[in-house]
Amino acid sequence: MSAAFPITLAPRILFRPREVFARIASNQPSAGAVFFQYALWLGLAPPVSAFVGARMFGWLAGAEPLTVSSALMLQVSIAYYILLLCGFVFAGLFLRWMLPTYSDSDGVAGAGDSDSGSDNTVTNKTANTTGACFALVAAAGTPLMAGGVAHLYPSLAFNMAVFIPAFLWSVFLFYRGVPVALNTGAERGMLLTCSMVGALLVMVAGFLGIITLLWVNGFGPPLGI
Amino acid sequence: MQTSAQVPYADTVVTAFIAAAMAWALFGMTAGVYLAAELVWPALNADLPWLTFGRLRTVHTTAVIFGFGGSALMATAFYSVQRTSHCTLFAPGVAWFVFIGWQLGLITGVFTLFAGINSGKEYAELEWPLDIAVAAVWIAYGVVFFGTIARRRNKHIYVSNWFYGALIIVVAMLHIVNSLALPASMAKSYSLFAGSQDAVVQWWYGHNAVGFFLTGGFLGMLYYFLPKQAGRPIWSYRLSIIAFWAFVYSYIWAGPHHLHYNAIPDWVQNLGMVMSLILLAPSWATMVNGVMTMSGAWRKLGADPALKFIVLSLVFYGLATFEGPMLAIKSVNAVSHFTEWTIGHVHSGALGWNALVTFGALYFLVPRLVGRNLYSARLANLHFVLAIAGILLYTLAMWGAGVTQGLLWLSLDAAGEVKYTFAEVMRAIAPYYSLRLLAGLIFLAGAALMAWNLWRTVQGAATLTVFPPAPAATSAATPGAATVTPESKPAAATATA
Repeated sequence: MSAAFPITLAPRILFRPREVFARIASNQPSAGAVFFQYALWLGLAPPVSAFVGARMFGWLAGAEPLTVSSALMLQVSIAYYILLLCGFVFAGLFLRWMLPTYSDSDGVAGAGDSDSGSDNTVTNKTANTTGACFALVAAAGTPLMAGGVAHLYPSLAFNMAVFIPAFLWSVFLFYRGVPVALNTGAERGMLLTCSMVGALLVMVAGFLGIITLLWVNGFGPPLGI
Repeated sequence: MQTSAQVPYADTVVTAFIAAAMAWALFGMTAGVYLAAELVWPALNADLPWLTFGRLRTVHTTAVIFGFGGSALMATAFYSVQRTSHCTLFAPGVAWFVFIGWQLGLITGVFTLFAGINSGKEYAELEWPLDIAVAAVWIAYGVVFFGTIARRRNKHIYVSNWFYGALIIVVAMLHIVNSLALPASMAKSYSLFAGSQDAVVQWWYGHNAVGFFLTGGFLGMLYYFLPKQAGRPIWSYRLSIIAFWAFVYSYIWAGPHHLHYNAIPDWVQNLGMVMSLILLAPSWATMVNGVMTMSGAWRKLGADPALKFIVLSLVFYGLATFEGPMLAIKSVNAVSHFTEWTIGHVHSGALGWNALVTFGALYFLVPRLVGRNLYSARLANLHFVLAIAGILLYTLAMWGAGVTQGLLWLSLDAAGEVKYTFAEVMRAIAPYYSLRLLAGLIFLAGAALMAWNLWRTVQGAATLTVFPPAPAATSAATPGAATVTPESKPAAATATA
């Protein structure tokens, strides 16, 4: 039976993550519950903060503020929100896709790892592995999303000072959460996490490339290109 | 009469190269950290010409690429070519010439760089007398390597040897052509090429120094050491061969992406961009091949810290080979060129890919060379955490700095003039420079731990004498070697050596 995954779990994820990971493993939230009850709401923090901060202060990059119109900032914020949700869905699906590679069979980890790769020792079959994957991404991404309130003061340096520790915190939660929530075992979990970190870094790099392309093509501050 | 089976592997030169690699790593990375500190506190140059950023940077790049990277490549090439060929090195005396020549050449080179003697060509700063010396040593390297392959007792030439071979041949070509110059004095020469031609030749060299030295050679390292450590053959040997040929074909064209919007023809820029994008395919094919090779060998990760490094290196290889083509897109490059974004890309590759795969290979190799266990697996695991933390912090900081620089440099005011001064832009990115310094210190601390760990492992021990298998056993599989058909995944996964 699928369980809920409400937004009220966010503080517990930050301060008592092990409980949440164990809950994911045992309660099996559905992907829909994670998306509609958690991700949709937590994902609002960065774009709303960015809109408010940009309108109040303008973007501070160490020199005088860059200002953009309300209409443009609203478009940017909506695009930001959609991008975050797409990133969340992509990360969850990617994790779900990779999981069998790091398990004995679909979503299941064996009690003892086998070099042959064909050991089907089943210890704890996860009934809703897709939901568990989405829940884990949501949980691990919570520091990053919560850190989005730093956009209220839209200085790039301040935001980097908040986001870099938040990112490292998220990576730490991921390393800790994968073996528990997805029942992969420590070694496979480590490898799966490394692969996910790589995938996410690629996503971030791709995101940087996309916004650069948008800027160069006129969507953003005027550039001398 | 001594048969080749009675002649042991020439491993003492391998041990010597590994020691040199670690020494260069510590020296070169310390230079890098000092450079990062100078960007935060410029007074650290103490007004000494040899300690200025301009000179110290070339010392850093030479030491880490050619000292650390080069020595590691030579060590692992000499080690693996013997094992995959089941015979000792061809002309071990020449191998020692390569070792002594390489170290002496680089030490001399570092002194000339401190002295400000500089050809002005990036990653090829050494002047013509040292260029000639480097070429001689490199050709000797090729003689030893290919001579060993020529006397191999396995018919099949394992894929790692193809990558090392490509490294040797292509780097020889790049170095010799790019270094062609008219000497004016012992410490000064003029490039045979001028203007735009010189720029294109320089970046044909420069990017393929990355491509064949920093990528191709280290892929050779990966293809040998990963299956060896995992105890499993390459997931798809056919894919590794296809990727090899696609890789060597595509990479050689990518150089012009360093010269976007410069005074070279548009078609040359566009060609470089397109081939850089195509390069993504063989690069990611290799990454997938490596990750899938681990399939079924997860348990080893707990017991073998070295394997963690190699696996993580694949992740950063994937990142670097995605980001590289992306930065090669002209529109993206218009914002990123000359910014710290490029530096972030370089270091996610150099630290995340090159350094990590080397660390993994050396953690595996050194205990085996001396017949002991690694002194401390706990220290190696701590090194792993420090390495990830340093690389992530470095990369994220440089992404932030680079995007800031790109935006601010290109911003126009209402009159259509450049909006921000150079000083204003530098003030904006100053916080990121502090983060980079912290990242470098963390990474250097990890490397220092490794040097200590390896030192304690070998202390008091000598390199083991190991003999190639007897001729009747030459059909036994080295990882993915003689028994591999393009479609097979042989059960015999461990090498006899």
